[in-house]
Amino acid sequence: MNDYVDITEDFFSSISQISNNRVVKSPFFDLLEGTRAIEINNPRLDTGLIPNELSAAELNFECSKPISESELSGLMNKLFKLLMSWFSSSSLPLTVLSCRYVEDIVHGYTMSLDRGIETFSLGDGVYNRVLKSFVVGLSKFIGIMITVGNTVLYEDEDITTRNMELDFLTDIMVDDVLNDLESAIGLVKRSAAQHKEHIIKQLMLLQDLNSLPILSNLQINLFGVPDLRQLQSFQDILNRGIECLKFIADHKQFYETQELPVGSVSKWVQASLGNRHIPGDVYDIGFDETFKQMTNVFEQLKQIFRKTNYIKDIEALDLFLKYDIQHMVNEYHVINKGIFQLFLIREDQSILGSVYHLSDLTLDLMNHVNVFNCNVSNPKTWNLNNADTELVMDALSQLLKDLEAGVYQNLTVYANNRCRQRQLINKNLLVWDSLQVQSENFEMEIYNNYKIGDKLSDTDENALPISSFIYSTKLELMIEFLLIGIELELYREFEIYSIYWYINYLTKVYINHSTERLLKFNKYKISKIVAKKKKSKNKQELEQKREKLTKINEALQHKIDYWKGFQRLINSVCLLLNYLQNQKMIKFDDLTANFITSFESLFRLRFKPFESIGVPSQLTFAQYSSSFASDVSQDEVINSLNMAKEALVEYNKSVTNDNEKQWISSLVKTCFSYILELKGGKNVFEVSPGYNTYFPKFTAKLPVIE
Amino acid sequence: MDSSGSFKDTDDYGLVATVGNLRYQRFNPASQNQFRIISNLIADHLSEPYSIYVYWYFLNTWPQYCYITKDSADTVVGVIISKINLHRNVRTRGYIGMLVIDPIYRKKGIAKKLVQLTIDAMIEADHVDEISLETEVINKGALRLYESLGFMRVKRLYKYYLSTHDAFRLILPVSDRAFKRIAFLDQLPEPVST
Repeated sequence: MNDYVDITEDFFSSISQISNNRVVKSPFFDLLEGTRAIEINNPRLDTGLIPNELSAAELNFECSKPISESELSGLMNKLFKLLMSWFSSSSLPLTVLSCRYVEDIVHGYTMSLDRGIETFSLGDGVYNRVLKSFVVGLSKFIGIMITVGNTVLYEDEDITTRNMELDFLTDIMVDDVLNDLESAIGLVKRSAAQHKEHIIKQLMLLQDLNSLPILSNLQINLFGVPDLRQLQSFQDILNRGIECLKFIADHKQFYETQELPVGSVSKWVQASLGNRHIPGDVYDIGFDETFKQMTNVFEQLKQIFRKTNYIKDIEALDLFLKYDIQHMVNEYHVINKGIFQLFLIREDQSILGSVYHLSDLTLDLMNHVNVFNCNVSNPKTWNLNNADTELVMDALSQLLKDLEAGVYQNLTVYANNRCRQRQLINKNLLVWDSLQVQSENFEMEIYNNYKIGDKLSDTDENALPISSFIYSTKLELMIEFLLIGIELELYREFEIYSIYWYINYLTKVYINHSTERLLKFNKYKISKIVAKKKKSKNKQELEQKREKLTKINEALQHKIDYWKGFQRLINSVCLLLNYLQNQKMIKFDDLTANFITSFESLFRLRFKPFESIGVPSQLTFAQYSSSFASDVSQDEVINSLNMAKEALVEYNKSVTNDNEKQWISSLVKTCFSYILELKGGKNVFEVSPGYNTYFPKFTAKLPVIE
Repeated sequence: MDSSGSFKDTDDYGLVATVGNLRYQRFNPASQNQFRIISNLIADHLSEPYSIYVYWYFLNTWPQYCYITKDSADTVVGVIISKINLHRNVRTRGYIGMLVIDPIYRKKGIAKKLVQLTIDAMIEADHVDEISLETEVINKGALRLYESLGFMRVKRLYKYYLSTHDAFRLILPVSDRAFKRIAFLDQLPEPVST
């Protein structure tokens, strides 16, 4: 009792000020604080009641008591399970920190001034010493992941830390941890343990886990020859981890029957340390799930790392980010999402740790659309005096800097969970719309004042190349924003048509912009080079430019071909839904009949993110209402779906990225499934998951005409 | 009734509607019995645990947006708790915090009536621009209820609940301000009742 202070008098004196049902609180104590407030004697909220439910063994647990070989192995097995349970949306107090040994090490480290690795101890027994190294290694890995989480993940979404203000060995070096684990392996080898290999595999696996974050420091030779030695070296770590995991999974019977020191895992920590959270039971996802998830971590990183080493150009980088990361992100373990984001873009803004930086990427992205060989981006071609050159250069530099920020924002989207991706894209729409306004002003101004600019064709129309690139990027974001909403099941039956109808519009605008501005402009530049080449002495340089522009246009054409196939499918879905409405299978108006608000209001709310965007012009509810055709036939829908299918099949022949190929195949299957559904289904209209996340299955059977 | 005490309340304060043998009343801020019943009813039927402070926060600040339903035996069988706040200083946003109906009384339209009463009060007294709430993506009943009134899913919130389920944020637009992005709206003064 000596540690406690009697506050009874102060407490009653304070509450005497409360009157008339008023709450007395600090202005900083808001609803969020209130949800975390302890309510004394409420078992769902008061962690102070936890000791009442603990056993004597849990209350009096001693970390320094010698443990047996079986207890060592059983504890390490339990700690792996608690670790992966933490990553499965639980918190540290309910998982790893529920182990008294972890609490002891981390709490001791937090409170101590002497913070060397040699100061840790969990008792003198040989197995206690091995356990100490394991707990230190585990705590270090948790510390690293907390840092990763704080940097690139979302707390309470991707990861739930609740570290109880403990320091997870921040100043201990990973190399020291790896060496300490190596010493522990030596200790086991020299010990009288009966199952040395089983214990060593657990220690080795922890070494490999601690080595994973190395990835975020590796330097990829982007677009160049892969560093095979580095590739092999990291693959070796991953392969060794996978081997350890296989061994452990194969010996489940052994690990799961080892003992745990009585009282070593409990709810104790929730009551013993500063805790701002409500009580909860210790959470354990089980052996199978633990080692399955851990294997995924290693396998996924292996694949990601191998692929990044073979990214050959900017188009491949774009496809990798879209199909291997963004679309696959639901499959990736949170450890990998975090590590990948740090691996992709570094503090110095280098991409994948290469010599290629954000500024290079920004320029390349523009050049590979339509900015290559333009007057506006090449100061050498400006015919200005020094002062004017400096003025225009400053404005151009500012625009490029702002563009870099926009590209950076886009790069942060890829490895986030899909809900966040949509929210981030929503924010980025504002960024790219502002960039377009800024760029158009800049390009118009320098054209009007200094005659710097490029013609789109032989007419006098300004090509506005930078603005055109920005517009193209913005349109892609707008389309993706609506599409992710389908995957997240944000749209209800009554509005699903309006969504596809809007996407149809945006994809048409995108294709038209790509064809009539981007491709056309590049072709015009090629024709000018060809004409100039005939008279020029510098034929080789011009030929190189012509070749590069031709390649850019081939890549652009390839992309347009995809969007054409995609747009045909979108258009087919519009026709399909229109047809179902005509056949009285869906009655869009009836679905909204009892609303307090109107469908028009909901339509405006739905497309609010586009409300401030001037170009492309926003579609109105009146346009939506008049978009239904009264004479859509079943044959017309089927023909449209067949055409979409053929276009996508044709496009897929030239696809090389595995995940893109799979994506296109799922679109093709979607076409097939819609045709089949049209020919026979249930007698109600239903929306359920389909072959592709952007195209759910629509089930509807036509009424039988008697 | 359950182990936490009786749900009976004979206070007639703030009767706003009678439908069949069910009475809809505004919460009486002076009634400690109603406060106790409401917090017990919610604690018994909602999975997220709330401290007494959370109930105080809602019921003391916005008693006008809390309604209860009683049966003919004066037993409280349903409650809705709401609030209003200034969303990013540009929109007056009503927020439905908790809605609980005793399972025996479900599917009788009580929840819908309570939601409608709250919405009407928010529009009339505070001229809200929109009304929002969150619900678990797997809570089909709640989604059906709110969406039947015109609430729209505007956002999916990843692992929003303690149960780790995602949530949908639903919004019912009321005024034109609901259709404009925050960045393009002028600032509003703080509502009186916050």
